[in-house]
Amino acid sequence: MANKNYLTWSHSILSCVLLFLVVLLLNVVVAGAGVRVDLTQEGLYTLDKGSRNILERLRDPVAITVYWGNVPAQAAVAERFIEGLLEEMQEVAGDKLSVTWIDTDEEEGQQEAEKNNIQLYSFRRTEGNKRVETTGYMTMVIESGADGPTTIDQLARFYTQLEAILVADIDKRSRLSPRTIGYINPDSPLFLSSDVTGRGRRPGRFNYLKDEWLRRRAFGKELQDVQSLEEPVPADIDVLLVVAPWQLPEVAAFHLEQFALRGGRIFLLLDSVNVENAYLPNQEREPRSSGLEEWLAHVGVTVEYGLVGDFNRANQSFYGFNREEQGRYPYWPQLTQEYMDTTNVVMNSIPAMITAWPAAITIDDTRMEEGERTVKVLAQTSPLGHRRAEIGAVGEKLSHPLPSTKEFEQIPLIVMIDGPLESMWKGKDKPLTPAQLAEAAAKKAAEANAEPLKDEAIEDDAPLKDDEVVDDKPLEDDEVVDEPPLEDTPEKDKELEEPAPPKEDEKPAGGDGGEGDDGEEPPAGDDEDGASEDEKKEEGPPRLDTGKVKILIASDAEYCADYFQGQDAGFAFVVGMADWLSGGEDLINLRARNTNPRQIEAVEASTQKTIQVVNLGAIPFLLLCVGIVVFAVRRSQRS
Amino acid sequence: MRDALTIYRKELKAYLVSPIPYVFLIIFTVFMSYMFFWYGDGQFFVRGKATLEMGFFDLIPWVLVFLVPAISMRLWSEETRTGTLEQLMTLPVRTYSLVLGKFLAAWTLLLAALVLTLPIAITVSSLGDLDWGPVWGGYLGALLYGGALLALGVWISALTGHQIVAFLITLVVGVALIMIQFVGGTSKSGLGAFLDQLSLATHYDSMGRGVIDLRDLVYFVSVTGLFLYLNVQTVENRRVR
Repeated sequence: MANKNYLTWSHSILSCVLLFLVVLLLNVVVAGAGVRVDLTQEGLYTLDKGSRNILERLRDPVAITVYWGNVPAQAAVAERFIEGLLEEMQEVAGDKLSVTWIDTDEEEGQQEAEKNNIQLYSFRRTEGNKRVETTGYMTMVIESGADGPTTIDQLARFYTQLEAILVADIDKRSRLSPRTIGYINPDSPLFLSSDVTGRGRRPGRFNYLKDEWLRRRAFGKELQDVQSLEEPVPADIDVLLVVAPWQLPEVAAFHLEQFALRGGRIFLLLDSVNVENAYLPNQEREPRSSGLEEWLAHVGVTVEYGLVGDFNRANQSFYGFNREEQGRYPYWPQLTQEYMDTTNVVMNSIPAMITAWPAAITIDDTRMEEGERTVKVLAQTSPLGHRRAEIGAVGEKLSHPLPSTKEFEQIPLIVMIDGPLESMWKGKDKPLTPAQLAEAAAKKAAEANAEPLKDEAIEDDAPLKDDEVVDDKPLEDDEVVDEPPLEDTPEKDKELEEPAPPKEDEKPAGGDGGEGDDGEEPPAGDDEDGASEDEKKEEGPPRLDTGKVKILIASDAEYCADYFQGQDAGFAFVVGMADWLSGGEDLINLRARNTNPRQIEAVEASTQKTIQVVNLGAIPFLLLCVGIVVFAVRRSQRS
Repeated sequence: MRDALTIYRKELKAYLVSPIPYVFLIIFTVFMSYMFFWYGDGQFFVRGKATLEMGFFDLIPWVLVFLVPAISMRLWSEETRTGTLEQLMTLPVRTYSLVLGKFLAAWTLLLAALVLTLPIAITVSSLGDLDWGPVWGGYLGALLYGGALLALGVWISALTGHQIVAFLITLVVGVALIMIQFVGGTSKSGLGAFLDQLSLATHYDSMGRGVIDLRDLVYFVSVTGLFLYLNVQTVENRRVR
């Protein structure tokens, strides 16, 4: 019997050990399988289609090295996320993507991290009553071909955005030609020609954005200054950043549209109400026109004159010059993730962003549908947003009226337009530059001066009405230019819509019509010889009537002005968006992993209590009832 | 398998007429509701998030590590204490059917406990746009996690004749299987990685996010299978004695 027991036990132990080994082996084998199902509605834990496309067409091998170790226990979630993401990326990219984890828990790993100058982070935690400080690594380095390495620090903090960051970097490395970001700031002369932003500072209010953020931190030599929109946008520009445009002529809108139709991406940072208005006396406060209103309306967007306020306290910025004058100011709405489209990779990376006196963007849905264009609202106010037609509030930091609750609504502040567009000038002549307009006007004036009698004769021929009096006096120059019949002709739009007087420096040297050298089409009505001569000089790209456009419109620009230094979110937004727009279709369509849980509706305190009590009591009560019934039935059966 | 089903039905009937499962279910549902809707600063209406990951699925491992041993401790110990074990051993039923039947019945009780918390998810869904993917993933994870703990508990119950001893040992081993992920630190290789993968919590966390990974499924199934096999061997050896 004892022998049988011994045999049985030894058999049992042996079989258990064998089973343990089989189980271990099975788990080790499966560890490399990477088969998984993502049950989340938006596929939050699955590589985006755009990421897959980018990874599938990798040119050069990419090596990713992750330095990870001695991080707090809470970082385990981030670690698994990163691990899963890299595994999935490797599956798609195959041999072209290699991933190496450097375990900095080991001394060897630490030495390698130190050798490669990897950032060492300090973590504090409480052990009993003591504060203990530890150090660890959580950095990723991407290397590929001749391009320098890209370092992504603080992985545990940015892990949900890692897919977009990684894929964008890989996309850039896979590009056949470098991208070019165009920058233009056709701002008000008040800002461009005088020192309004501070004593001893350079003119202009976007120097910090351009020099520090766009040039030094983000794009370097890829940033190209665009001097004027009166000429076609240079062909090598991929994204054109138009910051705070002010009274642009019609021809600028035309060139912008042509640029967009050719496939260029436009990033418009409009700024209809700004600090300029704030320092002007009340009666002089006028919203500034960008000059693009008509074209934007053609696209299907209206950027309204006026202010947008947000009366949700969490979405208001703090205003304060001193202790007496401080408080929350609704007309500097703070955009928060709750009201951003966080599936957009850039918006997803910006926790909150202060805006200053933004304008409301209104979408013409019918026009968009007709044009088959899509509009994505990337940021908007809270439901307590308010449109204010007059802009007096720029001077009412602390004493602004509270709107009626009926006037509250969510108001778009940043929108992205994508889709086909038919040119606003289709079948029409190309608009004239202000110089050409002035030249045409001057020419007409000269003609009028040369033949004053002819004009009079024409007037004499026309039948006179009762209230018309023909002056015998010879007409003066300016009277001829402003002659009413010309203003009423259909040619008004083409010729004299914006007869801005030419500035001294814009006047053609020698007065020989030199402005035509800029490659523009000649003014309508010019003689044929002149036109063909100008056409020969035309070096711009061919004119398009239709095309697919991508236009990003923000209704405020001040968050990236010099006086917003220290508020990085606005600058990061502009740089991020320009970078994002310069990517390919796949990168632009890449959706961010929004792992922030969705919000619940606001519930009244009494309803909250009811919900809590019902959830706490209902199920136990039912269970108790079932138990009592079962007990009663059993008792009756026994008896 | 038919024998296993017979045992399963017998055990379920026993659960239905015993007050203990009702107490278990009531404690579980009250505790989960309280922790989700009422507890501390993290209560549901203060958080304002339409998710069960916070305050519900993150607590499940710790709640189950206490409650599952309470179910499993009596499965064999009770038979030993009341003397019905010998009677069972003489039945013309294979040991694995006995073990499987008992395990499946206890697992069904656990499933019932989880199903009874569904009103919480329905409430959240009615108040916000709840993503049901992570909810189903969390429930599946909780069921598999509970199953693994249960298999461990049933085996320990077979090893000892004392319910309290079975409860305490299962509790200690269960906590160890959760905490083991922290022992290895953050190391991605060697012992650290091995210990991390050995932890029940590591595999549960992944499912709670709504990602069903083959590795997690294989882990839970193999751990459950391993403990059930150990249970069969333990009972078999008793039979031989």
